[in-house]
Amino acid sequence: MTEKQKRYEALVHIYHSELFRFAYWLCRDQSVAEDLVQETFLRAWRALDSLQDQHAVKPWLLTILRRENARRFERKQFDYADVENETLVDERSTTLDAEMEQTVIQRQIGKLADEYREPLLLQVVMGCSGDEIAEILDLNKNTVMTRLFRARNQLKEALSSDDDQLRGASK
Amino acid sequence: MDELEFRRRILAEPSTIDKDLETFAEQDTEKHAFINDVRALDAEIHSALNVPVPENLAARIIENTYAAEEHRTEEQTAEEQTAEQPLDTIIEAKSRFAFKRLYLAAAASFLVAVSIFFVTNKQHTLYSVGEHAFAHLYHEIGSLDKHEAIDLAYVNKKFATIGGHLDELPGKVTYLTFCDFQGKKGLHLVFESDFGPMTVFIVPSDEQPFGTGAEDFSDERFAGHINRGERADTILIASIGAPLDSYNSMLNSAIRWLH
Repeated sequence: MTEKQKRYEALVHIYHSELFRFAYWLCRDQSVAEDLVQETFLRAWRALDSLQDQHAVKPWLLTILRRENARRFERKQFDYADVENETLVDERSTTLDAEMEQTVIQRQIGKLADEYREPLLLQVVMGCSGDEIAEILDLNKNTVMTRLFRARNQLKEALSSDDDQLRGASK
Repeated sequence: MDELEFRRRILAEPSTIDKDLETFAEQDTEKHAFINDVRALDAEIHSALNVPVPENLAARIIENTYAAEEHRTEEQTAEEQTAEQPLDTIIEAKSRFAFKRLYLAAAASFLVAVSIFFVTNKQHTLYSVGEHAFAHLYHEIGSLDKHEAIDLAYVNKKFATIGGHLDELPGKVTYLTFCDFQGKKGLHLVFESDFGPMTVFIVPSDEQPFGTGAEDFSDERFAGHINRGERADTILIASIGAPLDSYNSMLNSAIRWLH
């Protein structure tokens, strides 16, 4: 195995899960997410020699993936209707309550506007710092912080109103 | 720092609560409660976003990348070779192609003749149910290795396009696709049972029946049964030793026709 292959395979093993989850939440479709991650890593392989700074790997991969996702909208839209909006439930959740709770919160995350959801995904799924998010999304850091605040605030409010409705229904 | 700034900073980055924030929240139970609330919310967000990653994704990515790369290199080499060829060999290559074209035309017309023979004979070459069903099953044998549940509502969305509805099955559906059964579009699904994965083919029974012969069939690995219905032929295939009859009646009572 060549040095390049070793380096590449290590990269895939480290980042594929995070990137898949990030892609899934961008497009809400498992097979599209898989394609996006595949395409991202294929492009990464072809450009691997140009990547000098090891610390820049994550933002670099994310930039490729976001560009691929944008290209998806430029191209003629394929018919993904069959699997659209499938909600993946983590099968590791053992209790029904936990599963229901998770589906509720997944739905609310799905309802967030893209401009709020994306910074949140970068922070939570990809573990990016405020500065990294600002760089990837080409925004200033204050804007990123405001969007993160609004994203969580909206989730918090939506979930507490869901709770109120549940309490109201059980009365 | 004021109250609003405090809340903004906590909600923006709950995992990095610095000294400023700690000092501000000190001795204030309400502010502490807020920090805890947001941290609990964040834990929920984390676990909700943590969707399962498809099995063997990393291995598949690597394999596909190398395959795509190999394919690209081959194409490039072919292109380079064509570009490098001097003019006289290109002319020679063209004439050789013209010669080959004759063979190609002969082969093509032979193929057409053979296809016509088979197409016109199709109505007479009826397979036995078992042959037909097993050929299909073995062709898509990977269908038995799936484990991820497919939502029944989604199954029904597909099934409705050929006019059917499934009430419920004795296990989760793990594979679902439309297939061509000798020219007829039918549903191919797999569900998990206590006796391993079971395969179901639902093929509309207008025009031509799904094979001929015995309703029960088996080979060394699987056993199957066909129910010849007015609307569709339903085939159930399970591993040898599974109680096929009881699953068969569960399957039949689960299927309804919409119109």
